[in-house]
Amino acid sequence: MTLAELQTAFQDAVLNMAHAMPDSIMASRQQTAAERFGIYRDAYRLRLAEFLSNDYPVLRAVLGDESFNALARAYIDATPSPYRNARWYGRGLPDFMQANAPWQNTRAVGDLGLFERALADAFDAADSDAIDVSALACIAEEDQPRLRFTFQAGLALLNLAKGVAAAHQAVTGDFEVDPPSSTEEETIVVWRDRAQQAFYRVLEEDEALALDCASMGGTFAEICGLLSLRMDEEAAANHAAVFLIQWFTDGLIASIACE
Amino acid sequence: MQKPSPLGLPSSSQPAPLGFGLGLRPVYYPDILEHRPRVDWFEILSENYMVPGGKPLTMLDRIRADYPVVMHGVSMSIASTAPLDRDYLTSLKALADRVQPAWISDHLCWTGVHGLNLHDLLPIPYTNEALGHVAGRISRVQDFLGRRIAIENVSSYVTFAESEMDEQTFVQEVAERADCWLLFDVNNVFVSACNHDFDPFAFIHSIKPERVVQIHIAGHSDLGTHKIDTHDEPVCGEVWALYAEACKKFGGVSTMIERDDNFPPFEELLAELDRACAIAASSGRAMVSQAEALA
Repeated sequence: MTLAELQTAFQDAVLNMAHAMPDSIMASRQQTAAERFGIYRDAYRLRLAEFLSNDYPVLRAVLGDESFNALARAYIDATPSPYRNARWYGRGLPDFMQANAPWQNTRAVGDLGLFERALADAFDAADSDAIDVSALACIAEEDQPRLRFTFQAGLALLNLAKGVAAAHQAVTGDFEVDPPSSTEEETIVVWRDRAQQAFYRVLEEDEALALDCASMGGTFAEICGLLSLRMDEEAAANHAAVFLIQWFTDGLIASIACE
Repeated sequence: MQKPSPLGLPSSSQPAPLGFGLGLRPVYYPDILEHRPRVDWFEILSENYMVPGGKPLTMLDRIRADYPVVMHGVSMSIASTAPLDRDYLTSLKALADRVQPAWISDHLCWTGVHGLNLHDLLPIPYTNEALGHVAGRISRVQDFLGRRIAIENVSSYVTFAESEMDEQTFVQEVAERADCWLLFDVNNVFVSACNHDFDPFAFIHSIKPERVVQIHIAGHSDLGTHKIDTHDEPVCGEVWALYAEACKKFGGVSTMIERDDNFPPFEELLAELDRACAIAASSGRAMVSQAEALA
């Protein structure tokens, strides 16, 4: 058997318990060849389950060890890793939950996975210094409607079942809250703050629309236009200005530019 | 006569010893940053810092400002028959440009084929085919990185009927053919010796000192029928005895303790490091670290 053939057979048998291990694996004085090969089969599943557990600690706490382990086993069996870096292995878990029963039947649980993934992504997203609201002083008043914004690389806007973020906070803070809603939604913005911690804030509907527009490349005028569908023009401009200042204060904005 | 190096460097140009180090793990960031402990250097797990940005890299930059660092990877898959992963190597090189490590190391193993990764340090048969394959790949990686790398012997739990030589012969020959350095893991020798019934002292004595730039010592788990390289226990007496033998054989080599789980208070690791230092001193081959040499 060539080295390439041996590695293919070895890997196939680790990934698929039904596949035979390579014939050339030898027994030791204390273990059969199958017992020895089983060390690698077991280690593979234990290691990937540990990656998932580390990446989704709150999901694990909410599901409980038994249910989380069942989820991890299903994900591991369905998802061999193409990644060199273990950091990325668990990124597909929320999508797997949304696509597969029984997890797809409980939206809040899948949403909790999406939320934890966004926090992890924000934590080690690419660096970019947040700019201060004083940057606006460099923009002439007549140019302000054409202002566009670039946000921090780790920023994510999530539409989740209402109460998911509170449930996450309750688990990490060890207190109790009502379970997430099965019918209502809320929008959450996740980013990395100036202290380099992943942070989040639940947005009111108007701010969620404005931030979504801005993060898609919308100008300040387009944000005002969007809000004016929900209120009069003066109120829309005032709201947009308040939101903008809040985004600067939160450290969401990496740069601004006029068209 | 000395064999010419593919890198144009004399084979004996080992980096200066760094002294006694520890693995840099996030759980110890506060101890390190607040107390600047008496550790000569740190070893990072390269993949932990091959991320776009954020706190991991910030912490690394801060600690690197005060301590020498070496980079230790787990995913190069140098013994794989899959093509070398250029994206991985490019990312590794970028991290090295940032960190300026004393050296870069990875394991004598494979981690996957056909585009997949098993996230484990998988064993190979010790054949002439594997020898030529691995040595050639190490040479190509060294050419890509523009520097020698150190290759670590791994713990293993199976042996293959295909093997044509023992592990120590394979390790030594890989180092010679590839003109690379060795990261000699004493605990891995002990674990594999127990699992495969060979003499760990004979292993040590078959390795040429001029290839060894670093020593790992660590704890493991004893499951009765076999031992597993878990890095979650203190270093055991048998491994300390092997380390003493390694010090006599290899001289003053940069030594570090690996701890990757069941993390003790930082002071306990410092106490283990003191023990390593004392053993090295009693071997009569105590090292002079780069810092001491320059003092």
